[in-house]
Amino acid sequence: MKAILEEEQRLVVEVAERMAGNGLQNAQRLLSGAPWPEYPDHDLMANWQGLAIGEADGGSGGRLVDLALLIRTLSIRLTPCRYIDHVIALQAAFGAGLPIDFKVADEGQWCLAVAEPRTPPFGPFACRLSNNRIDGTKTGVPFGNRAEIAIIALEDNRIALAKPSESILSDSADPLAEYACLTFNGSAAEHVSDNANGGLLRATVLIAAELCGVAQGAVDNGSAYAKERAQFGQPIGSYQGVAHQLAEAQVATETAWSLTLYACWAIDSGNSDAQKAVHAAKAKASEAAVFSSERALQVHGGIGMTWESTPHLYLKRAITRAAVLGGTHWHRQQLGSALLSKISSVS
Amino acid sequence: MHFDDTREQANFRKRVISWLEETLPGLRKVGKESSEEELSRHWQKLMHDGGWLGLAWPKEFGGQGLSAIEEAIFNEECVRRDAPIPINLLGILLGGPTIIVHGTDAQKKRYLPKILSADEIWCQGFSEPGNGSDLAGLRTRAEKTEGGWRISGQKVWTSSGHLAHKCLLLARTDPSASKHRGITYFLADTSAFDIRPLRMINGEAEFNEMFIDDVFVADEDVLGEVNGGWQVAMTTLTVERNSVAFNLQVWARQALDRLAAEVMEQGLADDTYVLERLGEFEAEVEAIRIGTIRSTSALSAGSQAGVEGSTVKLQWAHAVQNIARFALELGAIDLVLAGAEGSGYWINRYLRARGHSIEGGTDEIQKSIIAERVLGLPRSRL
Ligand SMILES: Cc1cc2nc3c(=O)[nH]c(=O)nc-3n(C[C@H](O)[C@H](O)[C@H](O)COP(=O)(O)OP(=O)(O)OC[C@H]3O[C@@H](n4cnc5c(N)ncnc54)[C@H](O)[C@@H]3O)c2cc1C
Repeated sequence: MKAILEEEQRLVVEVAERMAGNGLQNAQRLLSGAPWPEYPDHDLMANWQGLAIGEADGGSGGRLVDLALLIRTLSIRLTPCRYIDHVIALQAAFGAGLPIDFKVADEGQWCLAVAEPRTPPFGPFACRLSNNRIDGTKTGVPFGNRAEIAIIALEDNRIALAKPSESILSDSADPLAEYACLTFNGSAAEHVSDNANGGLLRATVLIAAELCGVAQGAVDNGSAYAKERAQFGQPIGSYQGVAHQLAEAQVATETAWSLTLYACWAIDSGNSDAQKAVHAAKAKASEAAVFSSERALQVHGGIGMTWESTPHLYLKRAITRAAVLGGTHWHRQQLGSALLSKISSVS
Repeated sequence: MHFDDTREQANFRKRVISWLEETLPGLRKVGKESSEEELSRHWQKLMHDGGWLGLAWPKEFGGQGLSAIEEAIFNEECVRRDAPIPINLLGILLGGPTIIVHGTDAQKKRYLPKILSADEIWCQGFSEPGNGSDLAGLRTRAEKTEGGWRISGQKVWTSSGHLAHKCLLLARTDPSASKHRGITYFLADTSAFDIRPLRMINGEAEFNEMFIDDVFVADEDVLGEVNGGWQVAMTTLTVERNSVAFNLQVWARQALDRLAAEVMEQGLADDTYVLERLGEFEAEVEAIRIGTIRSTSALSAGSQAGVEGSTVKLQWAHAVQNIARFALELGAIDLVLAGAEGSGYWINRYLRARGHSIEGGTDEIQKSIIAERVLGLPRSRL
């Protein structure tokens, strides 16, 4: 047992911090109409898309924890990048055992298409596969509008790689992200695996890592303001009504991060409680991100309600990502059931 | 104690109901083609023409000379029927009641009728960039001049400022006095203010910043005593806390009824967790309704409006926030993606509701008021 970051992992964080550097400024610029910034997407796509995929499978090696660290660090500053959703799609493919052609991955955006209206987050899904052709519709697909390739979850725990027939950009509560509705009309399934669950677990834990970053970023943002803003002749952070909210958010954030780190490790090492660990991580990370960003907004007072301010960007990222691949409520229920079945199998 | 109507109140309620049932359907037809603002304007005109505004205000100034109970009955029936909010909400809620308490007869005559008719729309110029919670530290300055005052400074988060003709304006008139003692309350014209809309996080432009540069306000438009503005402001703030939940409980009720309808539609009526949350919200929304009935009864029985407004304001903010958050959680990604299939309602409601724990005095300040004034705990702020 040695649950501390290793040398390479500290390096990943350092590099990610450098890439995240101007994240918030880029985000604000994007909001005022600037085009998508090339940096750091360009570097991330060039150097980091093979992370946490074994060299034998064409990746560049490293552990799932490394990728979680990278994604968390980028998300602390809300760094606008499409890399996160791209790499999550790759990871879903890898986790499901689909072969990945990195030459194809180099060329354009991939997306992970899972959600269907009124369907539980991990299925059973209505999207069908017959004669190697895919039919159905997926909603809320991150950057699905830009993707050439979709990793699509299908009926009977299958998952495939295919090209969508059509994509329609949805409205997005998060102004820094794009979501689309994808239709598949007899699209050819290029590869199929019957372990969708394995892919969804990897993807979900990475969304949890992102939410941990969002939560931490929100707490940091709220704390910075609480030090700076004074009322009644003192920094508002000196009032416990303010300080305790932020401290609570920090505790929630740390809770989620512990669970996320463990879930990454459990998946990587094929541990039998990986599934349970992912449910715990996603439940708590969604909760922490929404709670922390609500608190950050609250401690800003009136200015937090303005479009030009920062807290709402965290809040909007939190509330949308909390809904991707299952919300708090659903993951808690899965975790509760897992606990019960563990107890009944013991007794 | 009873919650049912006396015979007169029941008669009054009947009249209210029949008027609302006659009037609202026509309004809804109009509403389909018009913006929310036009709808609010039109609604206030209908209420005014029908004699339903200023129910508890003195008759000689355009009111109906009834009591807070009738006002509560009218409001309750409006909430039940999802009626809009009148355009001059802040004039009706804050301006009128403050002027009734502190105004001279001339001021009452001059201002009250036009508040009800919406010929003059009001806004509240209290908060400043540097002073929100610590309102008494405000820095907008008023200098004495012949026949009045010249005012300069900046106000911010001014709701309805873009629609307003008049402003409840606080400015410092004696910088050498202690901070609560040197403030004066003005009834100012906004025509010479530079008013710029601010975009809110839900994309809407409800509030504004106001730049005031050497604007003249006449002596007769000082409300209360010169340097006695803090007492007048306390009246406005007390009325605000008491009336926000009272008048805006409709937002909580609407949201909850809508959530309940969606739960049925989605076939979640057997989900015990969903039921439990619905039950929690129903109790909370009911507590707001009942709490406002209790405080209204106390008011009309002659007691002073006090700190109970802080409690109900906290309850209201939380109920609306929690209902909207839960709706998003239930609806998953399709609801969060605003606009998708008309469900933009929830994300908009959720974002707007974040302001409920800030506007009209933050949650933290309301809690401090309860701690200090109800529980008698020592005060930590200066
Ligand atoms: C939607 C909306 C509409 C509004 N409309 C109007 C309007 O029409 N007219 C108007 O004048 N104002 C209006 N306001 C302003 C509102 O009254 C202020 O935003 C509010 O009083 C808080 O002030 P502030 O924004 O300066 O925040 P600050 O006072 O700077 O507070 C920042 C944070 O610190 C906390 N805090 C401050 N002091 C303490 C303390 N002693 N103990 C514990 N916590 C503390 C606050 O609770 C808050 O969380 C509106 C605000 C909003 C959001």
